[in-house]
Amino acid sequence: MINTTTDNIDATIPIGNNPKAIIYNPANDLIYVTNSNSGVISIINTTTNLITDTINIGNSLGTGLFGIEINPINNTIYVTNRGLNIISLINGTSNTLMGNISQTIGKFFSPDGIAYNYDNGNLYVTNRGSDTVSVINSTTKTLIKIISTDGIAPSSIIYNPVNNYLYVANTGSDTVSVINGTTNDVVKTISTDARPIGITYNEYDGNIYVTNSINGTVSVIDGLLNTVIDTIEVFGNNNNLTGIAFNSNNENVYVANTNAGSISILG
Amino acid sequence: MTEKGPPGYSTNYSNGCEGKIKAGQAKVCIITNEVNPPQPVIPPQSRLSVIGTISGFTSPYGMAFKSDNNLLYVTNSGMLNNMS
Repeated sequence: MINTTTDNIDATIPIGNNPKAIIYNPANDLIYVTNSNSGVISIINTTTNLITDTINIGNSLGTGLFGIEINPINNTIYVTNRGLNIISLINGTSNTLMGNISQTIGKFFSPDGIAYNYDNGNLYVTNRGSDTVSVINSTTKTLIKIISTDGIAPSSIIYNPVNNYLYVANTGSDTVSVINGTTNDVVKTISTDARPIGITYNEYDGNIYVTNSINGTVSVIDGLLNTVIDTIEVFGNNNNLTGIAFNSNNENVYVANTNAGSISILG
Repeated sequence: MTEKGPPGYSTNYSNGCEGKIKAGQAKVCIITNEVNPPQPVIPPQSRLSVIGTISGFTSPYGMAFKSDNNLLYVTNSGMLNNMS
């Protein structure tokens, strides 16, 4: 954990195999981590900062847990499983596996990122293998629509609560697709630097921040105009920028430099 | 003599618009309203740049921020059993 007051590492917590995505659940004050290689979700108590529970998703293929999202209305955690092409549901009260969503028609294809639309309660899942986004009704757990992204290898996705749009990083085509959360149509495709992969919404300035893993840059997309207004040089080429997060206390943005083993602070 | 022009225009007066006139005297006053040139549009910019770097991770990947304890949780994807 990084103490963002001092910007020092406070502690290191033993986790599972190849931890990837991570999310904080304000409903129960717990952190959930997807361990991609073992098919296990680790749950951390944020008071003690110790593992309190693990949930085995049962990934027989060995790899695949990637994205994670929370539905605050019903306190359900959703996990994308690229190996099994399913979305697993975890009850945030009991921390048990509730079941899976697996489409017979309009099947998930290497599902990666997932985002919850606070306006209509739908889930948006990027299918990295079919260049699409599946729209799922989180109540009925049924497919509403499959959206062609107009890009290649869609990965991370983020929701903008101001305009009810969703932004998809298309890792294979160096673009971001903008989806209208009401009509579920792609309304714009924005060019970025090479290999966009991580994406976050900055609630302070209303902009979308995208890590470009090849160029070592972050593209800043105006959240109203939907145009790139800045490209920030972060860590040079080929340092594999990946995750990105917004700190609502100090309004800084944190960028994971995966190859360099460091975190850059944008402020 | 003065006149207030419409918004976005500048008002110019000829020499005949100045001073006073006597009874029976005639003066020609010409008032011209010229449209103002458009102001240059300054594109919006991000206010952010790199202000620091924290080392000591192994293939950091995902991050989650918890505001009440001001902690940022980072997954170290390249190592087994590790998260900072």
